[in-house]
Amino acid sequence: MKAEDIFKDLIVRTVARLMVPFILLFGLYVLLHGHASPGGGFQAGVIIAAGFILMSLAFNMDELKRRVPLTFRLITGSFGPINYVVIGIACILSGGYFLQYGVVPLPSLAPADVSAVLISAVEIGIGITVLGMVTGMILSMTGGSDDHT
Amino acid sequence: MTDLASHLPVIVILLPLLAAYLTPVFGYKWKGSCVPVALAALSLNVIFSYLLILQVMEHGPIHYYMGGLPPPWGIELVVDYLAAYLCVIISFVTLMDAIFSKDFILRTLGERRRVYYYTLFLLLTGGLLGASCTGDLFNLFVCFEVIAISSYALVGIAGDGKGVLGAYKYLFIGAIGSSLMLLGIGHLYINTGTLNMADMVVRLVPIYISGAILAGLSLCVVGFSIKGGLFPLHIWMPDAYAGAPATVPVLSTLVIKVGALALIRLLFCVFRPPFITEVIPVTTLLTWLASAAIIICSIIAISQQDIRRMLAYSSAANIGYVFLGIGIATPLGLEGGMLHMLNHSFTKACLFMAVGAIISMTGIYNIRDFGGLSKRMPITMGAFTLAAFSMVGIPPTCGFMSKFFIAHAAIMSGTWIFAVVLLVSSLLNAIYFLRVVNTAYFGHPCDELKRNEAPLSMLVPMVIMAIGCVLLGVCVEVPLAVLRPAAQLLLGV
Repeated sequence: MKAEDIFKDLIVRTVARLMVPFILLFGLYVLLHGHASPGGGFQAGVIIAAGFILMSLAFNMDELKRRVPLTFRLITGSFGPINYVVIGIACILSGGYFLQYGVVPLPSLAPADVSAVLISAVEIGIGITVLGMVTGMILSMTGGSDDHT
Repeated sequence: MTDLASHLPVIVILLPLLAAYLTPVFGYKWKGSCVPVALAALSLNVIFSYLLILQVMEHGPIHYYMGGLPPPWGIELVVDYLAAYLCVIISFVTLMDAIFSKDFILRTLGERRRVYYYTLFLLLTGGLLGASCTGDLFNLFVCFEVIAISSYALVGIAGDGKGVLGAYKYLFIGAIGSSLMLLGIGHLYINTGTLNMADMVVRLVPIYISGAILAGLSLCVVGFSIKGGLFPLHIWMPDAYAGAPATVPVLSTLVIKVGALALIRLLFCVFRPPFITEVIPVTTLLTWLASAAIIICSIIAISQQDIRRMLAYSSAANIGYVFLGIGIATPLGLEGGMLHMLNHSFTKACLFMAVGAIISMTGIYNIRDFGGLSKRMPITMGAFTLAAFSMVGIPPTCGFMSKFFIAHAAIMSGTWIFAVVLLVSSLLNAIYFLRVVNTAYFGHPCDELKRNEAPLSMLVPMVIMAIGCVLLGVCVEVPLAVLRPAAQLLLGV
């Protein structure tokens, strides 16, 4: 039996297939509630990545590698911090301090709502970054990564 | 608030961090692009930190509230004289190191890893600048983690046995240091309910002599000493320095300076001088440890054959000078210690660049094989010799100035023994540095004497650093103009 076939039994596959949509949904919930309740980008990224990892364990590691290629991981890995800096600079350019979200003039929104929207935007960036990085770590550890030089 | 001048503290930190995340994205498509991105960010950073220090000199310390939240709640950046001074050093030395790395890393690591190298390099720079500028204890810890993780990876980036071993050792000791820092900061936070340094000063006064505060103080002192490489805790340095590509130790000399800065912040900004000098004499302990570092590490350095290990022990001895200056805790002593941060950064950067060029061009790192190097690489050896003179402390160079200040401070404060330590250490430094210079100029040449000088991108930063060693010794008043108010602010006189 090949190493990849260990988890290829009916129970693991069926449970994984059932659970993954809910894991992803829960991840999105944690992500979008991060500005107002416990949670946030990092946790959500880890939860969503866990869904991906469960899929790849139950089915095929190569599938994960194919769907999350190195380019994708590099770009997502950098997206969050760049997004964060861009939003921070936008606050400075709108006349506030760095990350003083309330001052950014978004149309038809009160300052508190602007903060909520922009914090969510930062959190979504962080979530995407963590998603890319955690998946990349799993691929590196299982030797499925293509970025060994 | 729209003028960018008032946002300089945050821009100085953000610029290298932003560039760090841009390099892998651009570097994936165009492998050469990491160099211009890094150089552009670091050059801008030099300009910005120069503007920052001008602003601080003119208006005094700058307080910047992240997110517009005032201090006890929000995170505050405080750029005082010392922080601005370190920002300038860090920006300048990292820029020179980045220029040097362009060809050096290409030769040692190849094109693909150079992208990762610059990513980590810029992250480390951002962490260093962040740790210098922050006014919040927990933020300081976070910046130290950014520094630590990127420097572990940088030490092991070559992926060979020595590099990985060095990184592993560094990781182990550094992780212990980080945990101690975190525990100590936790103790202080639980007892005062604040993480802001300026706020903590006020709240600490009534509860100074409680066990938890003292535990927090000692844990933090040990943690920062590990980061700063103070004597018994310097054991990560030799392996990490010898295993890493020679540009990484240049950054590492900055890391230990920031460790020393964190200790200064803790001892002089969070706890105040009468407490740490008289009630709990941490500073006395520091002076004795520093003296031990200076003497013992110099003696160990004499016995080294690998030049990188020799320089590592020399770094451990030199951080001893910085801690000795801090420990004397008079304005003059602090000035000397802080001046030595600058001088040692320049001198050691020059030495490591020269050694990097030698290893990269000839593959020699054993001191016995240095014979004839002065003919093969005259400019490199010239820079090395100049920096070595500065290390020993021969008068026109900058090394003399800081040693002179610290010795003067030791005599003025009545602790003669430390002046003797400095004198002895200068002799020991002369033994191990002049041995190298002697072998290179007058030693028996091993093989061919063909001129094999390093490329221009390595020579230029090296020579600038070497000239800096002399200029800083002659124009010592320039850094002192910043350091005098810095020392007064720290001691509260």
